[in-house]
Amino acid sequence: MAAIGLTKGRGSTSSRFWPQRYPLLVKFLEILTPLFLVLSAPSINFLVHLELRQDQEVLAARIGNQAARIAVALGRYDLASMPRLGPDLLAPLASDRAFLCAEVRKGEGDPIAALPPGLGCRGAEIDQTLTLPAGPGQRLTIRYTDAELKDGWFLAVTLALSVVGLAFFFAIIASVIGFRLIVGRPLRAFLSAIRLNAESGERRHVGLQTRDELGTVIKAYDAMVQHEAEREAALSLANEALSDSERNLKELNHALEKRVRDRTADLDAQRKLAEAVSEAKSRFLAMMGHELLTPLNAIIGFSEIMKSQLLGPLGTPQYVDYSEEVHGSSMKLLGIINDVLTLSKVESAAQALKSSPVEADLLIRECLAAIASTASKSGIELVDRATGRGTTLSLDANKFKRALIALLDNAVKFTPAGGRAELRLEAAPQGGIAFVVADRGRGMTPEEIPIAMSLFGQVDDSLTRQYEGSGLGLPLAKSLTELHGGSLAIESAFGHGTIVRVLLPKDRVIQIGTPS
Amino acid sequence: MALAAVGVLSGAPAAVAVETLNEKVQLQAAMQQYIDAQSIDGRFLALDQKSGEVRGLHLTTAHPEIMRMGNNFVLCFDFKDDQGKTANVDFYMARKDDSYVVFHTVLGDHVMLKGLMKDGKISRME
Repeated sequence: MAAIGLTKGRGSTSSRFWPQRYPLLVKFLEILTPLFLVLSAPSINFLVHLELRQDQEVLAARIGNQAARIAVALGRYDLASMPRLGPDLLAPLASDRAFLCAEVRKGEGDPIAALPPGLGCRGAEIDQTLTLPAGPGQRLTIRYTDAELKDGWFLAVTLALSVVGLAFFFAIIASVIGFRLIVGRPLRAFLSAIRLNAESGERRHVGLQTRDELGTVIKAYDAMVQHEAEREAALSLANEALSDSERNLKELNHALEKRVRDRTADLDAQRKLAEAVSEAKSRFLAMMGHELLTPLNAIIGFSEIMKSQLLGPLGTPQYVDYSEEVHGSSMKLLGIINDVLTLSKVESAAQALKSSPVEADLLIRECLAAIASTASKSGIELVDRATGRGTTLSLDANKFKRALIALLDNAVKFTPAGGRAELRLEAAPQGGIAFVVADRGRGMTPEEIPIAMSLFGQVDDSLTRQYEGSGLGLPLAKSLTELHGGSLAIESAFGHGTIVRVLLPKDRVIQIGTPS
Repeated sequence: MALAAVGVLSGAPAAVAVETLNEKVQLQAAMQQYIDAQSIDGRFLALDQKSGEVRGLHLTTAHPEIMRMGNNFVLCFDFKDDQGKTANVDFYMARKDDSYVVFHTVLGDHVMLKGLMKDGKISRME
């Protein structure tokens, strides 16, 4: 920020004629000149009038007093008896060009004294006449002219016009000089500053301090420039602060990215570790399952031979009961081992789906048939409303059937004798489909539902005793459903039964029938 | 300049009217004759109302300015007394037929005149 000097701006106009260089001055003069003349005319007229009145008064005093004194002097003598005195007394009038002629008459006769001597006013130009008494019976008549007033008027007018003309000339000169000093100079400086600011963007003060209106404008401009400079400085500081913030943000982002990378790496490592653990667990379970299944199959086989007494009677009937008990327990154990192995495979993603078109109606009927024996023993009615008719789904039939059977098994298990369990098909949101397993059994509280969904999570130990089961039904169904891209939704109210919806996405639907 | 000249010249005829010149000449002459008529041994006698004395004055100069007071006029004349001291006399004049007569004189006192001027009753004769 600095004050700007008086430099010639772009497009110097020094080579042009000054009216073109200073159009503002020309306009100023265009107004000033007629205004000056119009205003000066009455002033000149007034001054001339004053001068003329003064001249007139002086002339009147001169003529009146001079004529009166001569008349008085003439009155003291009888000019008829002293013919030479009259011209002598009139003679002083000849020295005054205002007097044209003079005559002294006595009565109506010829002049007894005259000026010019012997001629009097005969043949004289008739202008103004003054007649005064000049002694007994005598009167003085003089003729005078106001020619000097006219001369004086012309002189006064000429002088006044000359003075005014000269004054006007000097006023023009003074105006031009004054304009250049008072207006032109600050304007040029102002213009230079504006051009410099506009061209270079540099904020410079005009730097001229005058107390007139232009000074006020320049001061306001300087204040504006100052304000602009301060604003730009503030903006620059803000930009720097913004840059710093941006830099800090970048550093923070880098740090965050590094942390994310590190955390991702940690998580990846943990995931790999978990996968390794899970795989090890699955391998262990598979191995253990195999190791368990081998003797269990032997137990099941031999207990079945024994209970059917295929090789001969056992003798004591109690042995038959024992063998039946062994066989039944072995079968339950086999079921549990199979469920555990399936779950293990699902969790380790070892289970691959073998999807194929499945008739929903057939699937429902097969599931109900699979559980029919158990339901019949428990006195539970299984309900099929033929809701799957006409619907074809893309499913791994065996795995999905296991999920539905597990849910139906739970429904039968927790429904008191005389109750009913139902498997039906429903339309689901977003074009999907849902298998619904509903019972009127014990039901669950909202707190019990998450427990039931967890592995081996029977909600009450007493239930374990009351209802036989491993607690793998719901988790297994959930896992198998999720393997199909679906989800499980449970609605349950304690004492009013449970409704489990197996929701399948739209892409599992090949053809939709008429589900209720 | 042309505008100024036109303006000035347009006011000239009124300014140079000769009628007032004649009247002023007659007034000056009438005052002069009155002074001569009232003079004794060349001295104009006037009563000094301030001192209560009659002063014998010698005429010196007539003032060219003439004041108008309605149909009357006021003229002024400078005198010197015997000691050479200047004395000013105002002559109040009125028209009588074709001439003028002095109806009042005031010696060395302009108070009344200034008062009349201030009241606008007296103005400079154009």
